[in-house]
Amino acid sequence: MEFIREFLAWFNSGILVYFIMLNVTYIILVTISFFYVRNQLKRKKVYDLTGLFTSKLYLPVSILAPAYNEEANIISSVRALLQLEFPEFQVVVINDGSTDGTLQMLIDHYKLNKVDKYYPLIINHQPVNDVYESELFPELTVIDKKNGRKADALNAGLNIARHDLVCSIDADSILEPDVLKKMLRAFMEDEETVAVGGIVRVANGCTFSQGRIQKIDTPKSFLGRIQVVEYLRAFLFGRVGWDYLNSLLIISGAFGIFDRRAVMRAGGYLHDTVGEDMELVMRLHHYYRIKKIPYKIRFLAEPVCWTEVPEDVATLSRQRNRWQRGLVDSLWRHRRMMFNPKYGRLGFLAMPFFVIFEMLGPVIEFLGWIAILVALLIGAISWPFFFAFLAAAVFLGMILSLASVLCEEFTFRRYPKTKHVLILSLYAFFENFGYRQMHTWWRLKGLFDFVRGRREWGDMERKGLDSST
Amino acid sequence: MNPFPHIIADEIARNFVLVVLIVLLIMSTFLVLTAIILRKKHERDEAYRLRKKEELYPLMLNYLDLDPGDRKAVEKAESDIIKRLKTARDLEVIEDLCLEIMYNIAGAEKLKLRQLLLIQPLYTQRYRQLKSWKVENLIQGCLYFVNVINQRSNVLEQIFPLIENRSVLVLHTAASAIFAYDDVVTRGRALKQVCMRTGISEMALLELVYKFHNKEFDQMDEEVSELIGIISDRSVPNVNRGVIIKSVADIGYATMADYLHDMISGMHDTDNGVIANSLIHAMGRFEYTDAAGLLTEKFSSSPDVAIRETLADTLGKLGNTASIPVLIGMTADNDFGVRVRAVYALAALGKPGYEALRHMEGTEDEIQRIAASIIAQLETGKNKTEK
Repeated sequence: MEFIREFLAWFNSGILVYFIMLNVTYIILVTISFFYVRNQLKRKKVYDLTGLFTSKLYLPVSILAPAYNEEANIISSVRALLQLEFPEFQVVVINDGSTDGTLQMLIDHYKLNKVDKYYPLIINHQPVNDVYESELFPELTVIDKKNGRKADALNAGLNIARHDLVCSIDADSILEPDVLKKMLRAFMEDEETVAVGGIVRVANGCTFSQGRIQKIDTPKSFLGRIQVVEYLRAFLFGRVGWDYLNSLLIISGAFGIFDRRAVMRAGGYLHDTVGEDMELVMRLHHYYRIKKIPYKIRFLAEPVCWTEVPEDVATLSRQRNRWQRGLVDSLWRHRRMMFNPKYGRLGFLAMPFFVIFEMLGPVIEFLGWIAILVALLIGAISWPFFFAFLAAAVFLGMILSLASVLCEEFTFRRYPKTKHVLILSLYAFFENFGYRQMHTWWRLKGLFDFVRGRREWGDMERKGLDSST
Repeated sequence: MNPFPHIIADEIARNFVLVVLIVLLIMSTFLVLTAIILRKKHERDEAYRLRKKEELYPLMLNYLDLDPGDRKAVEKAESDIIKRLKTARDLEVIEDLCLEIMYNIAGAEKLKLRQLLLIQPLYTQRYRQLKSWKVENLIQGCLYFVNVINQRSNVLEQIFPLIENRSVLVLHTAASAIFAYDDVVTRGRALKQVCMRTGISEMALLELVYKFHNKEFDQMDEEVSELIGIISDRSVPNVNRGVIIKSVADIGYATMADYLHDMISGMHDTDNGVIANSLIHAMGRFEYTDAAGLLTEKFSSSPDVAIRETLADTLGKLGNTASIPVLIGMTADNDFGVRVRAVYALAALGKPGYEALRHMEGTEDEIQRIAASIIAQLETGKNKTEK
């Protein structure tokens, strides 16, 4: 028994150190992000593109929207894309072997005709059945191909895209009309920019019509509201902070713009991973660092993409399981970056953070809870200490979430009412009871599933965002 | 019971945990309260700005209706407006309001608003910002001077050195502010100073050239002489000279077409590829049909792939059927990108190019398939038109 007590004492000390390190890192990221976002906002008026857009010399964009069984959203999503405010862009919808009516709906609604369009197969992907162009919108191209998952669909889109920049999105996401202009700023600011990510916000609860957001509101469900807080935290701190440190390892698959040539050079999206978004960004880092070509991978907090999040436990658990597998897969594939001087801050800061806190975090957190419970049961710690530790964990988690709510208040204030601030603050508290533990479990399971070799995506049911369809 | 007996003593641990909890509790409460207070403050601020706008709007309409020659009435209207500007927030409101209205109007009324923006308290505050060391202040100050009518030399003296600022954002706004001046030599000096810098993206520099070409002043000829000065100055980094060449063609300085054509004539193989590429691009943009022969002679065997790619594109744009044999030759280029562009350029040359595509032989399968795909598309388009 004494040995167990001694072991637990040391183990708990380790957990405490981990806990302190994790929170100190988060606090540093929060602080950086807070000032960085505010400064960025003050600079947003610099590039009012009065001249450039009257010329043909800006970088036009091809938007790649892979769609698999998206009949609930596809018409409104494509409509929203066609309404974007940008002088020249192409919308490429890639129907990735949908088994529902996605393709037929597109054909009927947008009057699509088959075209004999040949394009060089620079990156491999599953065979294309047909390419369609719209009678109504010349900028709309639809590729119908055999199912090969999202990365494969994006590769097909990359091959056929005719513009210098490609914007990869989820077909169920809705971009705000001015996002492309805002994203272009990163490429104007620095010629070396090869990829830019934008913020993804939770669309559930908001009202959409004609492919545009009409009213912003918080979701009605418990899980929906918690995810609003989660997304704010992930994007307003995580991504902003890593952007400041020039060590961004991920651009969300739901919304990112890439230099097409850079992606082609790096070899396109990887087929056999469920984390193709993170993997591509890591491969871009790898490619440019090895070739010693200066480059920038950025995150901008202002351009918004609205996305529907799952509101039932089963779908959410599958999504988080997949995200965790994708994360582990990407980190494992690029493990040579870890503590490698060639990769600078990426190797010494971002990679260790992601491996220790994001990849192994669920394991350590889970073991920590077990150890504390065992220590409690054998009397190695007292109930008051247990509650004190629990309270500290809850408060720290809450403080970080509240800081993201506050950061939102200081900067974008997208949720219009005081009621929303209260709701988000309340859910920053609620998420620590049950949800966080469930989330740890899903991620832990994702890690084990990855080790066991599970690679499939899992279904994601959509309810549809646009009330006008 | 202390779970970390080997690290700290029981008493200290208990007190420490207690203190930590209290601190965390206070911090959480502080964050929630701050968020709510901020929201309330913002709501009050928005309501105040709205009221202020409603108060200023009729006065500004009255100001716009006045005859600029009636100095007394204008001064009274200005004074009425100034009387209502009591705080820094009021100055922001009037600046926003002016910009909002300016966005929707043009001509003499716009000029009046640009004049109105020069009201003393606002001018003084923004001028002071130009002396700040903070990037945000410098940007805000310069952005103000982009929109006002301002020919004061003290402002110019303050803004010019900002082109040398480390931040490209400050550079961009400072140059934009100078490009609001009607003196073309001053604008040209600023553009040259910008062009001496490295690290400015092509798009950012293009935007600045568009701003340099200030449409409000009809000074095309004077602008051309400034632009030639920059293009011909070899101390300007080639990459920036290249962008200027591209943009003059894009903006449409027609009188520069011959100058650029002459530049190509005088070029040698060893000259910079960036400049050559921009010149070829410019010929296409000017639709300088007679340049096709010169371009072919100078660049068709260039070792630079980018140059051959641009050449293929340009020969397509120029529409000179004499280029067909050259383009057919380019469909067998070593580089795949050049081959593809040559095929598209042939398609752009109309019927003779289209016939050449039909009878293309000896090229690889992939190029033949691209050509076949283009022919199919052309035929579909033709059938649709006939129907």
